Amino acid sequence: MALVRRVVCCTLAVFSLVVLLLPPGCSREPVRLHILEAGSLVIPFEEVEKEFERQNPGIDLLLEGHGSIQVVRHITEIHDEADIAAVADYSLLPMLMYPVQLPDDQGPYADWTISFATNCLGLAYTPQSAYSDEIDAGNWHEILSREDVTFGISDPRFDACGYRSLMLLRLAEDHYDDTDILERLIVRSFRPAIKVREEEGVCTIQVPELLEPIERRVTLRGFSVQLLALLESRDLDYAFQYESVARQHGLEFLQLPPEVDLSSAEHAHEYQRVRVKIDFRRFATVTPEFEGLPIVYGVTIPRNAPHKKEAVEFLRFLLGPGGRRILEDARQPVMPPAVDNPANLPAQLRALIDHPTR
Amino acid sequence: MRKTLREIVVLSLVTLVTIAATVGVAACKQSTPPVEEGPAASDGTSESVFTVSKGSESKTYTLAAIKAMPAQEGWGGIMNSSGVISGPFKQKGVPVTKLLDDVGGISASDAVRVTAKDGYSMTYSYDQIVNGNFTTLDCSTGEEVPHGKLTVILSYEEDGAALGERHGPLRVAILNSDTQVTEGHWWVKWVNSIEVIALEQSWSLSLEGAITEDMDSATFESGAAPGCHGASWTDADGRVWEGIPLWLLVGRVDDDNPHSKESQAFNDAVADAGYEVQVIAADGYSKTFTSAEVKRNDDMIVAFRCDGEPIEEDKWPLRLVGPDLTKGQMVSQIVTMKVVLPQTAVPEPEWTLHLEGALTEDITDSYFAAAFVDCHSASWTDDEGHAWEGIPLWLFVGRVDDDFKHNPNQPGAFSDALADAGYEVQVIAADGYSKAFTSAEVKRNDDMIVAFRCDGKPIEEDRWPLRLVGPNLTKGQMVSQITEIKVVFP
Repeated sequence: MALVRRVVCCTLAVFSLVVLLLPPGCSREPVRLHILEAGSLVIPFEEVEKEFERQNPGIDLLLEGHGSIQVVRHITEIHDEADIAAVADYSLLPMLMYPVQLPDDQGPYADWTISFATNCLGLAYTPQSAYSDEIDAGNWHEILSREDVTFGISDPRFDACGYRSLMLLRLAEDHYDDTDILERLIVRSFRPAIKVREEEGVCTIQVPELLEPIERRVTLRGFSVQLLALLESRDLDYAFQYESVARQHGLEFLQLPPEVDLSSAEHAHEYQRVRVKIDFRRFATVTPEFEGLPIVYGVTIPRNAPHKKEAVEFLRFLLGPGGRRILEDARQPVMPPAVDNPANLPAQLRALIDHPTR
Repeated sequence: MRKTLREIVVLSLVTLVTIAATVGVAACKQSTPPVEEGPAASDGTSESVFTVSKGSESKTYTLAAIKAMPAQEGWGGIMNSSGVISGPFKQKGVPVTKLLDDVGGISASDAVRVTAKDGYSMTYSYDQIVNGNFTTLDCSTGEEVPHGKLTVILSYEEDGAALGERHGPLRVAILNSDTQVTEGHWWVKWVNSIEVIALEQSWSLSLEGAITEDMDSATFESGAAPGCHGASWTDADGRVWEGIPLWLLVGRVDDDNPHSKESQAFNDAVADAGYEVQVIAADGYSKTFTSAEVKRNDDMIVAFRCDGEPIEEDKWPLRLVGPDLTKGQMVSQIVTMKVVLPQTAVPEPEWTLHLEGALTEDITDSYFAAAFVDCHSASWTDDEGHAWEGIPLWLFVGRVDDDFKHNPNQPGAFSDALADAGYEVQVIAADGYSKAFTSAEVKRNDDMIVAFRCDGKPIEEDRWPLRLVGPNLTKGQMVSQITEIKVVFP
C-alpha cells in the first residue's frame, strides 16, 4: 500500500515537473482572437482592445486592418481563420459571405450581420489649406473648382471611400442645382474617362479599368488613409474623407448636407439613385457595382471562427455600453445595434439587439 | 516480487515522463502563433504555372522555366490599405517587361492585367510596367517619398527562400530601395496569368458653327444614354445602332447660346432661315445636308455603338445612320460636324453688356436670355404693378470679380472674400450716366436686378436694353440703358 502511495506521489511529482519545464507562457497562453477590421475602424478598435483585454486577461486581440472588401476576401478567398469581421459597409457581408460556402458543405461563411456604427463623408482639410477661411457647406464645390486648389480622392476601384466620394459628387449636383460638379471636378480630370449615364432616374458612374489623373491639382491614392499625410504635408488642400477618420487624425472636417454626405437613412432613397460600376473585376466573388446607401458598419462572426465563445464575448463588449462609449470617445459614431437574421444570431448576443435591420 | 514491483514502478515513471513530455511539447506547438508557410513540399517546378498572352499570342511557363530566365533581385515591401507596412524584403524574379517581350511587348496604348488563381486581378498601366510609376512610401514613417527607378518583377523568391503557398509560387513584386515600400494591392499573389490588353481608345468629335466645341468620347457617350439623348435604329440586317440624333449635335453650335439642355439648344429660327450641315470623315469624305432635313429629325443618328459594341474598325468611332439615308450618306469615321451658316443666318446681337473687373467679358442678348431661362432668373414688381424680370447684379459681378474662369452654369462664382474685402460696382449707361454701389450692398443681393424685360416684353425704348431695378433702389439708382458693369478694386 505504501508502495502504491509512493507511485502516485512520484507520478504527480513528474507531471508537476513536466508542467514546470514547459516553455514560459505555454500553459497560460491567452486565446488569440483574430479580428479583421475596416481601415477606418483601426483607431477606435485599438481603444476597444485596451479596455477589453484589461477586463479579459485570457484573451489577446489580434487586430488586422484592411479595406472592407479585402476583409471579406481574407476570409472567403484567402481562407484566413478570423474570429470577427467588421466592415465599413454592412451590405458587403450578406453580399459576399452569405452566398459563399465553407469547404465540406458546412454552410455559408456567415449568416447574420449586426449593424452597429455609422459615419459621414465630407472634406478633410487643415487650417493652412487654400481658402480654408472661406469654405463652407454651400460653396465647397466652387472652391474645389478653383485652379489654385488641390484635392484628393481615394481610388474608387480599391476603396469604398473612393466610390462613395463619386456618389457624393453626383448627389451634390442635384442638391446644389449645379449639373456640372462631377464633370468639372472628376470626369475631366482622368483618363481614360469616367463615364456617367442617366437612365430611368438612376445615374451610373462607370469607372474604367485603368484610372490616371491628368490634372496636377487632382490626386488619386489607393486608400483614403494615404490622403491624410498629403494634407498634413500641404501637398493637398482638401481630401474626401470619413468624418471619424479626419477627426481621429486631428484634421478639420467640413460637414456636408445630409442629402449628399451618405449619412442619413432618411435620404436613402435619394442615395439609391446613384450607382458606381467598376470596369474591372478585382475579386472573383465581388461584382463591382455599388449602390448608393447610407454608411453603416457591419460586424459578424464567421461560421468557421476558431474561437466563437471569445468572439461572442468581444461583441458583447463592443456592442454594450462600455464598447459603445469607447467608440464614441474615439469619434466613431455609433447606432443602436440591429441584426438582419435574428434567428441565426448567437443567443448570448440577442439581448443586445434592439430590432432587426430592414 | 518486490524487485518486480520496483521495476514496474520505474517503467511506469519513465513511460509517464515520456508521455507527459510528448503531450506538453505537442500542446505547446499548437499554441504557438501560426507562421508563414515555407516553400511547398513539392516545388512543382516542372508543372505549368502561368501564362502570358497578348491577343492570339500566348506562352505558358513552368516554374523551372521562369527560374532559368535571367533574374533580377532587389528590395520590395508593401503598405496595406490601413497603413500597415511589411518589409522591405529581398525579392528575386523576372522583370515583367521581359515576359511581355515573349508575346510581342507592350505599347503605350496597352495595359497589363494580372490575374491570380483565385480570380483576383489587377490592371497596370504602361507607365507603371515600363517606367515604374507607383506611389512610394517610407517604410518607417509611411509618408510618401520620391523614388528612383522601380522595376515590376514576377517574384519567386523572398529573402532567399521560395515563396510559400501563402503567396506563391509567383507574385508580382515592385523592386525599390531598401527603405521604401509600395501599395499592397499592386502585389498580386498566386499569379497564374499576365495579359496585355488594348485600352479603349478615346476620340473626339469637332463641332463647328457659330461656336466650336470639341466633344470628347465620354461626353458623347454620356449624352447617348437612353435616358438622356440616346437614340437607336435597327438596320435591315438586324444590327442595332446607338447614338445621338444629328440635330442635337447641330443645336450645340447653331448659335452662340451655350445651353446645357440640348433639347432647348436647337434654334428653330436659324434652321428655318437655312444652313448646311456637313458631316466629315477622317479621310475628308463628307456629305452635306440642309437644315430642313436635319431639323429635329430623330432618324438621322450619329452612332457610336453597334450591337452594344464600339463600331467596327473601318467605321470607328462614329457613323451617321438612319432609315432614310443612302449608303453614301452614311458617313463613317466621322471626326467633324460643321454647321455652315449663311452670313445673315445668325443676326448680330442687338446689344451687349460689357463686364469689367479682374476679367472682362461681353454678354450678348441671347446669352443673357439663355442664362435667365437656365436658372438665374429674378423678378420684382414695382409700385405700379409692372413686373420686371432679369438677373441679379451680383451674379454678373461674380463673373469678373476674380480671375477664376467660371462655368457658365455655376452659381457659386461670386467671391465672398473679395466682396468682404471691399470694392465698388459701377453700373454705367450708354450715355455715360452711372451709379456706384459698394460690394457690401451688392453681395448676394437678389433685390438688385439687371432687368431685360418688363411685363413680359423688352424694356421700353428710352430704357432699353437693360435697367437696374429693385425694391430698395431710388429712382436715380435705377440706371437705364445699361451697357457696362465695372468692378473697381481699391
